Amino acid sequence: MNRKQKISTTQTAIVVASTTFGVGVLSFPRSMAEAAGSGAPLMTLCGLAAALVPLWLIILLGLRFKGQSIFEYGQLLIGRWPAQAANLLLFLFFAVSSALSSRQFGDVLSTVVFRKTPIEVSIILILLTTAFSCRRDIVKFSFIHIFYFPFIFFPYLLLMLISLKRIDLLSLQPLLGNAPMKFNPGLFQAASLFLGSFIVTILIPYMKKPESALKSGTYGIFISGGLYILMVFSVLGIYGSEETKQLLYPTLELSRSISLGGGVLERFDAIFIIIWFVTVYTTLYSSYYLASFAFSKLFRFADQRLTSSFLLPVLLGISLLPQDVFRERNIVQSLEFSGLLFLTCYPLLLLIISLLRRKGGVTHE
Amino acid sequence: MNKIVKTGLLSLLFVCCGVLLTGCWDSLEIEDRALVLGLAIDEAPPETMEKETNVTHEKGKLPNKMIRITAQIAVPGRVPLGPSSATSGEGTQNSIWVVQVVGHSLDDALNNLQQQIADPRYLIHLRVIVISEAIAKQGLDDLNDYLRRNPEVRRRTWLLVSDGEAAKIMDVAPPLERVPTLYLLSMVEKSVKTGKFPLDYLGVFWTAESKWGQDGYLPYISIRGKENILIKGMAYFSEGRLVGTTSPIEIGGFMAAKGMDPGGYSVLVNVPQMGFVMVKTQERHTNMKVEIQNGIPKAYLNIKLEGMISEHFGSASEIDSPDKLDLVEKIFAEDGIKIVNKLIRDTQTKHSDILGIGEIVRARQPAYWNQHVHEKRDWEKIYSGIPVEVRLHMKIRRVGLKN
Repeated sequence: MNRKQKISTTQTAIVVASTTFGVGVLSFPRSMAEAAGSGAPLMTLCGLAAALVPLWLIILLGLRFKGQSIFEYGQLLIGRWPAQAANLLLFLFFAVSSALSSRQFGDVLSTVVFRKTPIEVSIILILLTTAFSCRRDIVKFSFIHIFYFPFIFFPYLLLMLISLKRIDLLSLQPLLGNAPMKFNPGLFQAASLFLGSFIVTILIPYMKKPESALKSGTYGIFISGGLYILMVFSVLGIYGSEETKQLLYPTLELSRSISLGGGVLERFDAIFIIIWFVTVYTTLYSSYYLASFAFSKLFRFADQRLTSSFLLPVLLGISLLPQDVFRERNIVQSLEFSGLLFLTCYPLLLLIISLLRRKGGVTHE
Repeated sequence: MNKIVKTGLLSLLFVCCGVLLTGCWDSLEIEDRALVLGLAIDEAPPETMEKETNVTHEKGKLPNKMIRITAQIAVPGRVPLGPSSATSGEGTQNSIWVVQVVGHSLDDALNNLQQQIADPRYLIHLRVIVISEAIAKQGLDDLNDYLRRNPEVRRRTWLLVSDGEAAKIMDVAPPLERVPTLYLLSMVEKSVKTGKFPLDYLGVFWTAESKWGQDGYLPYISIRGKENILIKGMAYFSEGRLVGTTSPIEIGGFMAAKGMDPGGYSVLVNVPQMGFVMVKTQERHTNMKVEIQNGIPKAYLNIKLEGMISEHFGSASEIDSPDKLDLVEKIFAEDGIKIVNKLIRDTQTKHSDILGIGEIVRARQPAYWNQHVHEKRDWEKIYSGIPVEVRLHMKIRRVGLKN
């Protein structure tokens, strides 16, 4: 393969960070509060730690099979057809999760901002934007992520800083929560926030220094995880766990209620929604890219350009399937759970087999 | 070269298309909106059920409870935006339009209202909701449900409890502002700035009500004379219902107990041999802690105040020495403790923990909390029986310009 540009370690970290910081931003403080009460920040931290496991597995595999992604070395390790079946599952997971992300995106827009715009329009718009960007190669993919990263990172940080002075530390105590923490589903929900980090499997072959992938992946998770924890911290600190449970989108509520300059500037929700649009876009971009990539590998297309356009109507169809918000939430939860399970077990299996069969290998060992 | 011109023209076309294609297809001019600035919610007698227009339901099968809402709708173009030389009078009459409807619930009534007015109603500029004491006594859960669901309602809206008919508050037309609701709003907001009332938006009230170890409170207002509104005290809640109200000085006591700044209340103390002294609180700082003693929580409030003397009368003896200041401080502390203690005793008998002592127990004594509290009611019951020890220390630094 002839590539002029490669991705640096920092770029990989930023791609992972902006991918994993996504749609869940609006509602996840609520699910954390439901699972752990005032222990929600700790639960998020546990989720972060748990999310590192599948990430490390996939990176270790990537390091053993340089220049290949999981879609290729899977076939090398467990044979063509079993691997293709696994690739199909991977494809399905990322396709459905991008469809559902766009649906959640449409839901928020229809409820809060564009109340007369049909939800289909919002979904089509974000899918179109993403589908067009998916026609780029990986290096440009990483550049797009890097370009948008400051627009995500700094506004959220600013939002947290503005709200810091209103935090009541009592609401965050006891650190472990009053009721026993519900690790099921809390831990899974928290860990599944970071599932997008799977994107590293197609980044590693394009990295300048693949050895540092482990470092960059971990940093990426720390950046987005840190932002997540900060967000739970401020939402819970301001509203307390009981009130957070009552809010459909606690983070949006936070942005609605802050004011600057003694009430001169208030109602930041419009600005917040714009930033959130970018947040959703970068996350959706990665999962859409992975889905198109998986699809092109599945049917042996040259690259993902054609498949990304082909997937558009399919994703739109899937996104419109859930009948109401509660069914949608159930579907998202079961998808996240099964995705987390599969994305941990499959790489683990591959790693074990590759160790047993001594396939691939680290050159300096 | 030809190619460049072509590309240029083509991209120009695209840009133009972009401009023409986007647009506010669902835009609604501000003149065509019925902007509700304020709402007053009162009880309505069951007979009004007969008069109610059936907009959201057919007759029957609904609870007997009826509410009446009085909405102040801004008349576009008449609401003064900047400072204006015109005073009240007919200005008030024109800038807002008052509509009164009845309904079974808040949304039912608002739908009835919509049926009567041409423009679509918008709650985006709703700043003040006044409810009557009777409504508050029935509980606010039903009202809150609608307000929480509606994305137009801000958490920074004020919810006020009126001692009489809430609709009357909407008629009060003070000379300071042309729009009555805006006067009401600036009154409560300024009382926050001057330390007369804690910051207590609807969102703050909701948050307090949601917490298991705390109860909410709202401003309690009353009409004085024809066009004055008085902040009469705090209306405090238990189990989501209004259970009691305080006097204005007890708001000061509450703010002292919570250590809320800025200090605003003055206390008139009768110092032996020195006459009457008015001490104005300027800063409040409070340390609240809870210990478990003999199996029940005991709360300690350590209140530290700073203040100044603003008036002294009824005696020829001047306040001119440190000893005399110390005496004033001592008498103030005694009086202050009495105020705070009365507030706590009152709220204890009404099971309303507005100070949020329960939150401290929940946060700092989780073992006790987890064992005894399984729902919000549990703490409200325990709160009534716990001992609270109040310590108050006043430090007077300055005495004003008079020597």
